[in-house]
Amino acid sequence: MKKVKLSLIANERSRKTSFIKRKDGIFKKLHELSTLCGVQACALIYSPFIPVPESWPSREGAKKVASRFLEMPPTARTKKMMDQETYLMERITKAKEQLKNLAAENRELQVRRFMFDCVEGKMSQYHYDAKDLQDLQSCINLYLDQLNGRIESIKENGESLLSSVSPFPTRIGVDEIGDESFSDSPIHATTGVVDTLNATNPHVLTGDMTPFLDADATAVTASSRFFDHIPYENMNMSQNLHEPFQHLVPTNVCDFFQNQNMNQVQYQAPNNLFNQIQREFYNINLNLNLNLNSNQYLNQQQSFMNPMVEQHMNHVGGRESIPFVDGNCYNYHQLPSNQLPAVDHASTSYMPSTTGVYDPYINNNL
Amino acid sequence: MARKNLGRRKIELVKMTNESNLQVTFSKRRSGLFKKGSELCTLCDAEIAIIVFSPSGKAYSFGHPNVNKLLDHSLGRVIRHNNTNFAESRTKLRIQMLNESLTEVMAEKEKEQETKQSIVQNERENKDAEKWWRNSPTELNLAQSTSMKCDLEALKKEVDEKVAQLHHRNLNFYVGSSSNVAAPAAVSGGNISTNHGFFDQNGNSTSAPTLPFGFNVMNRTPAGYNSYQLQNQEVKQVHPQYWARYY
Repeated sequence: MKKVKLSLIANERSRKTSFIKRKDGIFKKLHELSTLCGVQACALIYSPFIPVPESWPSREGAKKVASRFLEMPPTARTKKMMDQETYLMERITKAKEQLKNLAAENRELQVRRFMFDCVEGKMSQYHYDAKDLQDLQSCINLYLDQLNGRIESIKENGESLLSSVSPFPTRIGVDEIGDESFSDSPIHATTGVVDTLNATNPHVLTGDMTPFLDADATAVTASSRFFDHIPYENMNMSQNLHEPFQHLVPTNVCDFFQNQNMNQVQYQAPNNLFNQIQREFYNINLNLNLNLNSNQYLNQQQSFMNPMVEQHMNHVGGRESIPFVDGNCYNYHQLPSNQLPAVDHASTSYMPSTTGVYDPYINNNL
Repeated sequence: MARKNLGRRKIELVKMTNESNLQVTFSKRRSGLFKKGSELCTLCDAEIAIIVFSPSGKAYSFGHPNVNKLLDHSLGRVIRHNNTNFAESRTKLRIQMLNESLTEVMAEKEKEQETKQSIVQNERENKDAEKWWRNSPTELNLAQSTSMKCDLEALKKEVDEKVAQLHHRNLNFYVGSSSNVAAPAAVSGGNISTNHGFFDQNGNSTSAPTLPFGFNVMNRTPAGYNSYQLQNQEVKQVHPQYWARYY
């Protein structure tokens, strides 16, 4: 069976033929559903090829069912209503979840086979990394729990104590071979020579990923998690994680970084890598901030941020909680004078915010 | 005809009497019907509305572009205009992207299923009576279970040592690297947990790797601070490319 690509059929004749066949198929399915379950159903199909809309079961029958549908209260009517967009999103979500479950099952099977091969003394044939070893630990713990349960049940039931069918293979020299294999540097890990066993097992677990690749995977995962936050944030709390940077006035850039470094010196060793990323990130945002600012917002930001910065600078040396709370109260006192204009402004800008909800998702797809 | 395997089978086209089977059949067939409707809309550029009442009286409906629009056209005999405005173009583009995404996910899913099939088949072929230790724990007797337990505990000890050794080595590797993104995430997390300043918390929460943490921090900001954030929503919307910089 050839798989049909989910997009508009380019050839008009093929499109028309496909439309007629599929339309009849849908009507047949409707007939089966209504007959088997004893329910009412109707369908209405408009097409560029046929000027009169096609309906099932007939125009009068469809009109009757549609009238019953329209007589329902709007909440009950729209509760189960779907258009193609919501339907496709629902299907994508379901498929992604199934994919995740399948991947987890496959991973478990592979790790289990890895465990049995290790028991047989074939650990040196695999190239593994930290994650594989951690999964192996979990699998061993799980299997040991099952074994303990089995031993307990055997002792309780008093089954016969039979000797093993064949002697268990002894692992001679496994430690040395394992150490040699493990001594390879993770950066230069390569797939070893494929022997007969690997040839017969095409899905042998080969952990040839370097930690650098793992780091990239971690970054990708973090990015995904970041995307998941945006729609929830915009739709429910009208907050944006990027807003705080816009509050920073350019004149206070040096103060901000100085305080940052001092804090790091106090609590932990400074990390050049983190500082570089932080500075670069901040510079990008600073440029955007300069472009986005108008005189109005600049003035408001200055009037709002200066007291906070001063409070922070005053308490750089000693961190008493009580003065900070006082500073916070001061901020509270200042805000009511700006609160009404802010609310009015927010209400006018609510619609653009709603429109913007879709943008990150589109970027996510791209 | 009596069949051993209850796979696909033909059924009589009469109303079902078993209530639970009827409900399951309705649910499955309704899903399939909506799937076919969606495919017809995508492939042939048709506009469709399907309404189905469940045995319990609920209304399930699928429509493109919308059930209400098509019903109004049909019942009220409103003449359909063929003007394609901006919103419809946007919706079509979005549906196209969703279809592509769905196709990709389905392809990956099939790949994973093939992998699973091959693993299971490989294990079935290589199943050997001699290798009793590969069987399920429920098939082992007392001697076998005890022996397996001892060897697994030895293997566990060995693996624990390897994990500790690898962890120590990775620490040396990560410290000297300047292109690794994972390290600042850990450092930032530590920094946030030890920092008591209100201002720095908000400042740090804006760095990309720590956004999950920063998101939690933002929940604790004063209400007035949030109202000030609302004031900048328009600024955010004026420049759509603002988002792309951070992704």
